[in-house]
Amino acid sequence: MTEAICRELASGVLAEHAAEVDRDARFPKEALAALRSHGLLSAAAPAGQGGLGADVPALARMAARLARGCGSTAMIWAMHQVQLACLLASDAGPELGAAVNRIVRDQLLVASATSEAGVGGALRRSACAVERDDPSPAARPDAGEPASTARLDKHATTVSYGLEADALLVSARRGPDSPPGDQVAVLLDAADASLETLGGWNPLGMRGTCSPALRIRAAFADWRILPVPFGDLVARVMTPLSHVLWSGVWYGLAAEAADRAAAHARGRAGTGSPPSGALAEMRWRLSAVEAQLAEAARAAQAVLTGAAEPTVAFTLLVNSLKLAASQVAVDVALAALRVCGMAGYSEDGPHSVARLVRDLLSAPLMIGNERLVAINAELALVARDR
Amino acid sequence: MSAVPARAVHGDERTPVERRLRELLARRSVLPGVIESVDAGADLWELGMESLAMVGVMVAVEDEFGVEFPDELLTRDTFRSLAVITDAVVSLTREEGPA
Ligand SMILES: Cc1cc2nc3c(=O)[nH]c(=O)nc-3n(C[C@H](O)[C@H](O)[C@H](O)COP(=O)(O)OP(=O)(O)OC[C@H]3O[C@@H](n4cnc5c(N)ncnc54)[C@H](O)[C@@H]3O)c2cc1C
Repeated sequence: MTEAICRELASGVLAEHAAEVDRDARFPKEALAALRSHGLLSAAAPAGQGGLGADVPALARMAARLARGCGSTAMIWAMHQVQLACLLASDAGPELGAAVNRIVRDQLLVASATSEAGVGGALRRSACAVERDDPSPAARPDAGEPASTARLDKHATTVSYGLEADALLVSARRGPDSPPGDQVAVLLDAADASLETLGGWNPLGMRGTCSPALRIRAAFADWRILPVPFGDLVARVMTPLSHVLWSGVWYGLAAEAADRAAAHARGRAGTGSPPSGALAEMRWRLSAVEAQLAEAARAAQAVLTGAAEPTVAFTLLVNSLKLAASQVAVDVALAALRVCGMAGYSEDGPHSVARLVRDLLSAPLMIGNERLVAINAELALVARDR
Repeated sequence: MSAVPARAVHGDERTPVERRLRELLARRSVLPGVIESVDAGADLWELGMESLAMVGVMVAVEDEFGVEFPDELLTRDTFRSLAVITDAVVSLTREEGPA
């Protein structure tokens, strides 16, 4: 049902605006409005809380569906689901719980600011810290609305839809004396934060994600700090779900490229020459990613619900998915480009794969593959069967 | 995680294991200046242990004590503190015989 809606929206409103969103590097506001009108922004939230209650395998398939219409929209949707899942997994107190409920109910858009100047894509290190004017905890529980007691000032290098979001989930060191790896996540209301764009946004692909560098400054009440340790949140929710849902997007983009290549080859069927062997190669590469994606999505679902623990073998599995999907999707799109020739290289026309190729070239960079290779090489030293 | 017995059960075995463990981590420069004296129950993650360092700890502990952690014990929780690692090592050496 939900997947059918995603398919419909992808070939409708998403596809309709995709070229313009890409050309102007602008936020896909029409697509996001359509997703909202179908409740899709709260897809990952339980039905009892006003969401769609989609599990991880379903979310991955939805991401792939959406990507066929507009890669940027699909990626925005996927990143938002990850933030939502992080919030839902955080054993929240009353104020944070109410804020999360409002995000689900009103389908507010949540951006992520983990990457940081000087730290790059090392998710598990922060430079900025939560700071306090008065280090002594002036706890006055019945003094009414808690004041803004904490502050942060972060130079985030890449914040997708940061200027469009209603809220931001920002990583920082727990305090000024904390080591880089002792982090917390802070849920900031965009209205309470000062966001300053540093530099512009004119990238090769995924242009509609609108992901400039931002200086984020905010004062906030303590309840906005997620109680769950950031490292645990990353291991259980953020990394597995990011890798699975991003891979869903990349799989969808690559599958779309393969379909366009096949359509182009069909158009030449009358010429008597057999279809390019690349058409066959694209299929076996795609089915391998599809299977890997389904397996990782099932494992991620088990960890998300607490039925399984995020072990070394699990982390290897989800990192391996990200490495494989990001590389294979690029290979498939480039193969499609060779099959389509100039019709594929053109930005226009039914057999264009140009935007798909450009969007996919971001895949190995989203958490740099070299970083993940370094991590997985270490993990491989203690890898056991799950 | 029920494979890991409560600390109290192995009161006598635990002390030497915990000492060896502490020395091992100190030799490997895990949280230098801290690990030598930190409380056995202290959260190593909060003290700044990094994920990649944890893998080094896993390898070193397996080699030092001649044990092999099953995958379900290879988690952040098992390596959260000296006390929890000690519990895991004690329970594994019991299963596999002394190192
Ligand atoms: C479309 C898109 C959207 C994004 N959206 C967001 C967002 O919403 N929020 C957010 O916080 N971030 C976002 N990012 C950022 C992204 O996830 C990474 O954090 C960022 O791309 C890393 O930046 P970097 O490549 O400049 O730096 P680094 O990660 O430092 O990498 C630079 C180079 O050094 C290499 N390198 C670095 N460390 C190592 C190592 N240990 N071993 C081997 N090689 C290493 C890398 O592989 C790479 O070649 C987005 C990125 C993209 C492409």
